[in-house]
Order: sequence, then structure tokens, then C-alpha cells
Amino acid sequence: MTVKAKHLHPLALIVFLAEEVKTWWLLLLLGAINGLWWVLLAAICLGLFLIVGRYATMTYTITTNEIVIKSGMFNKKQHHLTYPKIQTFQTKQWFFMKPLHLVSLKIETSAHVDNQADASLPVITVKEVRELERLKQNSHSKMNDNSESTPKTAVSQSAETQQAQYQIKWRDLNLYALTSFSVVPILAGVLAIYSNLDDVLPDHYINQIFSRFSQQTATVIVFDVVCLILLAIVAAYMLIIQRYYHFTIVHQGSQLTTRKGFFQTSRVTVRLNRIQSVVYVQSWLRRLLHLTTVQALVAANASDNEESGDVVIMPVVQTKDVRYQTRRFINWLPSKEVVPTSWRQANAHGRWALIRNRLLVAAIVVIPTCILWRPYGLLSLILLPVAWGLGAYVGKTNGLGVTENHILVAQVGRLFGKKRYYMPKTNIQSMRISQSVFMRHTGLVHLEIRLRSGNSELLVENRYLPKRDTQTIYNWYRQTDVAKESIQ
Amino acid sequence: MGQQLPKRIKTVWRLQAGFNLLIDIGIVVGIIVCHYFFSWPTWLIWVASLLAMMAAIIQFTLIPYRYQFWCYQLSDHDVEITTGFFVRKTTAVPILRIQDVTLSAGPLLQFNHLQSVKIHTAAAVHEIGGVDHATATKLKNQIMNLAKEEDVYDS
Repeated sequence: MTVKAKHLHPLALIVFLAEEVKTWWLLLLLGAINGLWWVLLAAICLGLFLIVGRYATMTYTITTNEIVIKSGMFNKKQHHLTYPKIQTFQTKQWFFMKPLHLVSLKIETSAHVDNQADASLPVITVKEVRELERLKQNSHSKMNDNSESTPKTAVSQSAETQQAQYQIKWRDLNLYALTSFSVVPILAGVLAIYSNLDDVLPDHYINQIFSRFSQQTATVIVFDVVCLILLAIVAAYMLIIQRYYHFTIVHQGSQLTTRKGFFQTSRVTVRLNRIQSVVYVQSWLRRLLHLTTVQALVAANASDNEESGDVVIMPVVQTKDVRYQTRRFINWLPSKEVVPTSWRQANAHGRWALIRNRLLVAAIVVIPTCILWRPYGLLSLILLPVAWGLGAYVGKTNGLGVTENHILVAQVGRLFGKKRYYMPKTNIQSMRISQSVFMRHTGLVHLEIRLRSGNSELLVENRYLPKRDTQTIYNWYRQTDVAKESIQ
Repeated sequence: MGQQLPKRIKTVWRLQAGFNLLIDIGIVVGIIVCHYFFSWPTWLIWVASLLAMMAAIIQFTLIPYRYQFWCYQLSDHDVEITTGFFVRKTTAVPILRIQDVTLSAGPLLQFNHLQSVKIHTAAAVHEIGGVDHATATKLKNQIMNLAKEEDVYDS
């Protein structure tokens, strides 16, 4: 079958332009402020030339076996992707693409040559994405035809049978936004810009601003600062609402699809068998309010940030409903929690070690502060009870246990928050017990569990556990029932 | 207890420690030169040479312990590697999780006819420090034979 190579939709020109502006806006702004009009003009001409060139040289061909993407002006590239090897399709749709039924598509394969997304088509029609998904499904069922004797069920399962769906409620979304801490980075950003202002802006602007400020009284300045902080909080809140707007997760056949976003609707499809582990995350604030976030660690770059492989399955859910809600989407999660008798935790020695370590760290800060800043430095003594509390909390929270004979549950506390990992034995890549000389007489050990997440590893470490308990878990991990694994 | 590394690995470690010492001496010499030309303070020389001495002594004295506590064990379904004297680490890697095995040797290992065996899982790399060629090949074959089961990461 011969299919003609196609160019992207002309709207791609605008998307490319937006990308360029997003990369260079700071330089453009500086140029405009400092009045370098000729340089700006030359830069814009060059930019436009590159954008048009990029558009003109980028073509794609969809055939029944593969998709071919050609790109590059000076450095010509031809990328061939065969359907069975494609892991995920990720689409993003800006609000202005909606009426035209266009999306931008990212294609991920399991090869990891570098950390970039494997291939992307910045603007193509929704119809073509559907077509690609259909071709991929077909290639799978063809493979099943050859290898297994039950192609029919496989196809019908992976087709349109929707098994479960969840859409975030407005109230939950609000709670999620209010209990997240993203105000802090925004404030930090504002402060960083503020402190670098005199490097960036020409002097007369600064002088103008300062002369305006100096005419005002202290109360007005305080008022301004409070306004700034409030603004940052509102901005952070809106940002999260925007990002998780209409968050929906759908369980369909062998895959999970999440959809979210207001200005930009992003859609990620993850195959269920790529999920390595499920994590319940609680920050201290959400722990107080009995709310939990559910994440899945995925062995592919399917997540929002490129580095790690965690995909949010449920932004926020009442802690008592977590198990029920999550099990609708991930059926291998245990129906019962670990029985208390086989839940392994730090003993008195271990708890003391955890407290002691935090006290030591606090002491390193507190002692010099107390000596150097005599009267007010003593205030830092308050860190000591906090450190004690942290240690005691972690000692109480950390724990390990095996449930249903093949799932390891590990709970790790950090800064009064906690993470609870559910790891099927088959997904644990390796396990390590380590013990330092000083831990020998108390019989304590650390346990390190390695998982795959994204394109790299994730280390779950449970510290200062009794050796005998840890050895039980270690032995459980080492005895492999091969028969069982080959079935899965 | 599992299999120990061959005795020759101690020579390799001694040579490595020797090279490290040479590098440290180079740094100290550099500081002395700086002292003469740019009048860097004298105490810097003392601190640097003391540190170099300490590092060398610690490295050399630890070699027998390092040898004593480094061992590996290959069973039907996993590889277990134990290392370390101050921090003793025992790692289990199930054969089914192993993606591939690399045999490699830098000049020091080559000189002593040894190879290091690196075991890659989907998450991390685990290393058996240095074994002779025959054992390395045997280990590789054994592991690869056992690991022939289907690959979870290939769809």
C-alpha cells in the first residue's frame, strides 16, 4: 500500500511559534526594554525562517505496518515506528485546537536511547489518532493470533468495553488544590526574580520603583507584601485547578486512560501490565484531613515530568475509601490489608536510632546558633523537640508486611507525611539488606527495595528494622515459585 | 557462605589504592608548587598530605577485610552478592528480573586476567567485582540460560 507523506496541519506554525516564544521570551523582553530594535528584528526573521523550515521539512506517513516521521532541515531524520512496539500514545489539546479537532501527539516506545520522548507530531487530527490507535490494537490482536489461541476475547476485551470510570468531584478538586504546597515554589520564584531585579532591569526603572516605595509608609509596604503572598496563593490554587480540571480516569480492557486540564487537555494511556507499584501518598496536611493521593509507578515515560514514572490515578480521595476506589482500576491490589501480627516495625532500639539520628542533625544546627547569636539563638532550641517528634513519628509509621503471599506492602514516613507502597513480588527488581558495624550489637538492619519507575530506578528504603523480621521478608522474596510466575 | 572472589583481586585492589595514592601525592605536589609561586598558606600542605596519608593507610588496611567479606552465590533462581565490612550489604537479584549481563575489564583487571560481571535489572546494576575469565563466562552463561524466560519489559 502506498500512502502519501503528509504535512502537519498549518496550525502547527502557530504552535511552533508559541514554543519559540516560550523559550526566548525573556531575551525578547530584555531586548525590547533596552531598545535593541534591529537585533530583535533580525532574531524574529531568523526565528520565522526556522519555524517555516521546520514545518516544511516535517512530514509523516501512516501505513498499515508503521508510522514514518521525517524531519529536520539541515540534519535529516527519518523515524520508523512499528505499531506493536509502541507503548503509549499521549495527546495534549490546547483550548484553541478543540474546535478544529486537532491534538498534539507524543509516541513512546520501550527503547530508551535517551530521555527524550521518542517521537512527536505537534498537530494532527483526532481522526488520525483514532486511526493510529486502531492500527496498534489490530497489530496486537494479530500477534495474539499467532501466539495464542484466544484472539477473539483479547480483541473484545481491549476494544470499547469500559469497565470503570472515575471523575473528580468539584469539592475534591478544591480540597486537592487547597492542601497542596505549590504556593511555596511560586513564592520562591517571585522572591528570586525580585532579588535579581537590579541585574535584569535597567537602573532608571529600579529607581522609579524605589522612589515610589520610599514615599509610602511602612504599613502600605506591608500591605503590598501581604497582597503579593495572597496573589501567589491564588495563582497556585488556580494553577492546580487548571491542571486537574475534569480529571477523569477510565479503565478499558488492558489499559488505563487519564484525562485532565482546562486550557490544555492532556490524555495519557497506560497499559495495566506496565504498572510496577501503587503508592498512597499523604502529606502531613492531607493526613490530618484524612485525604490520600493515589499514584501508580509506571515503567515508561508516561508521566507529567519526564524523569519519574508516576502517574496520578486519583488526586484526592477520602482515606477510608482508598482501597475500594483504587481496586476498581487496579485489580491486583490486595483486598485485605496486612494482618497486624505480620506487620513488621521498628522495635525500641530501632525507634531510638531514628530519633537519635534526627536529634544529631538538629544539634548540628542548634549548637552553633545558640553559641553565636546569644539571646535570640536560644529560640532554635525548639528544633530539638520537633526532631524528637519526627523521629518518633517515623518509627511508628515505618513498616513492612506481605499480604496475599505475593504483594509486599511498605510504609515510609517522612516529615509527618507518609507513603505506602504496594509492590507485587514480580515487580521488585532486587532487595538488599545492609547493616553497619554500629548496628550489629542491636541487631538492626536497613532494607532497600529497588523498583523500576519511568526510565530509571526507585529506591524504597525502610530503616532500622529488627534483623529477624527483615530476614523473613528477604527470604520470602528469594523463594521463587517459578510455576506461578510463568503463568502471569 | 557463597563463593569468594579469586585471591588475585587483592593485587588489583592494592594497585588501585597505589594509583589513588599517586593521585593524592600529585595533588600535594601541586599545592607545594602553589605555595612557592602564589604563596598559598603552609598549613594547607600539612592538611593535604595528612589526608592523603590517612586515605592511603585506610585503603591498604581495609583490603583484607574487603576480600574477606566480598562473596557471591548463584542459585537456581537468584544471585546473592554480599559486600562490605563496615556496612555489610546483602543483595538478592532474582534471575527472572535480570535483563542482561556485561563482562568488562579495565587495564588493572586485564593485567591480572580478571573480569568484572555486571548484572543489569530493569532498575539498577549490580556488580561482582572481579572473577577469572572462565568463571565469568560460566556465570554469564548460567545466568543467561536461567533468564531465558519471557521478558516482562518487551511487549
